[in-house]
Amino acid sequence: MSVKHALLGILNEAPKHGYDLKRAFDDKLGDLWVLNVGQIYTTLERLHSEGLVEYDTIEQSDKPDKKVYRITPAGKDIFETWRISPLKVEPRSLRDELYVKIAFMDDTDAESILMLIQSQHSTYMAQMMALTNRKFHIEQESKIALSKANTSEAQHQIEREKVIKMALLDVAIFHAEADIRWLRQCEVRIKELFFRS
Amino acid sequence: MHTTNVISLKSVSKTYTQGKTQIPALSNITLTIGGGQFVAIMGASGSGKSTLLHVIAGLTNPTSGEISLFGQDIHTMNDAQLTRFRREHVGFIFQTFNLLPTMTALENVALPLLIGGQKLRDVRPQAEELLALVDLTSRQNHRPDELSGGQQQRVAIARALINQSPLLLADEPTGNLDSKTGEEILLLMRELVTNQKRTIVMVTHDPKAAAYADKIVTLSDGRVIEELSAIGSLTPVLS
Repeated sequence: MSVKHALLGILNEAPKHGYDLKRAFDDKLGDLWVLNVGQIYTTLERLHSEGLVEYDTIEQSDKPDKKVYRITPAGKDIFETWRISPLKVEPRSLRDELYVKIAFMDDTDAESILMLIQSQHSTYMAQMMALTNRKFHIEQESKIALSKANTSEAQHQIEREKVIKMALLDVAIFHAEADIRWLRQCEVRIKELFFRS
Repeated sequence: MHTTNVISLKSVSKTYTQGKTQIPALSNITLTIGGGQFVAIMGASGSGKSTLLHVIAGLTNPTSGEISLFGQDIHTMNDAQLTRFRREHVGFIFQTFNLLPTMTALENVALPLLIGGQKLRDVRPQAEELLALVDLTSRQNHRPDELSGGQQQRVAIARALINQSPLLLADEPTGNLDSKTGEEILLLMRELVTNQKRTIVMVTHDPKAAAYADKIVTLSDGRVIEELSAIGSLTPVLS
């Protein structure tokens, strides 16, 4: 993932100085991506040297000068192209540690491998419960917010926020589900292997 | 009611006899479910999960063991007592919705009270209120075949609520629905528990549906192999 495009995206909404940029970034993507101020400034410098952003310097009497960054037309082009381009994805990594354990399973101890699968299954299931709980709360909060919103613009904004939050929770839940289905399949196969009579 | 156990099973077993062979469906199940809880029962097909729901509902008699609902022993009740007890305490939600095709949504919702001898004009306000709760006010005069699957299931939920039943039993309630519609039904069920302190026991094989529950009971070969409770902890990714 690229910090560059995320920062261009934020500046595409409105000009901001470094600290505000960090706050906007945390707001939008903080759940999945921890970024320090240093990384933000390094990226801004690079974007500036590539001509994708420019800044105005604002003098402050008792503090160092403040740079307010804005996106350039070239930056807008790069961002818009990126926003509508599909990813060149690698398939999801198959280097699952649990698979490595299965590859080394102890033929004389079926019980321990089945217990490992069961306990891993519980972990994913608990994770899914917590994620689903988040979904329920977002749903409830947005219902309350919608009932208080009095313009269609405000309603749209609330719906939009919800869609974005749900998209992240959905992908986490679907991945957990894939792991759960995989473990169940492994369990059936391993039971067949050991207990076929 | 909300602090005590709504459902309590002690050493419940159920064995079916087929010819000369005994087929154990439930083996020695001990389980308590508190008021205001959403519990999912999971397990592979043949694990006994539907039998367990039927035993809790008093629709199937256990071979041995004790079952009490709201502090009353149901394994000692006769059929007439059970029928009355169920009518007052338990609402059912089925995978296939089970609405009467010739009746409107409103009449279907009111049905349990109509069977109890009340007049439609007297119970109409109550049925209308429940249809509003499930967001179907505009469909109250439609018949089931004029409603989508998700709408039919919402009618069925409203019907399950009309007796003020504090306990809802659901058998694969989202089994016939697409995932987005299923999610709406599950959110509605979660609301009934969180906001109205109802108790729901739901059988499902879908982990995504089970994840709406406060507790997941997993069965295998008629035994409880795990009880998993929701805890606050979360993966670092989304904490």
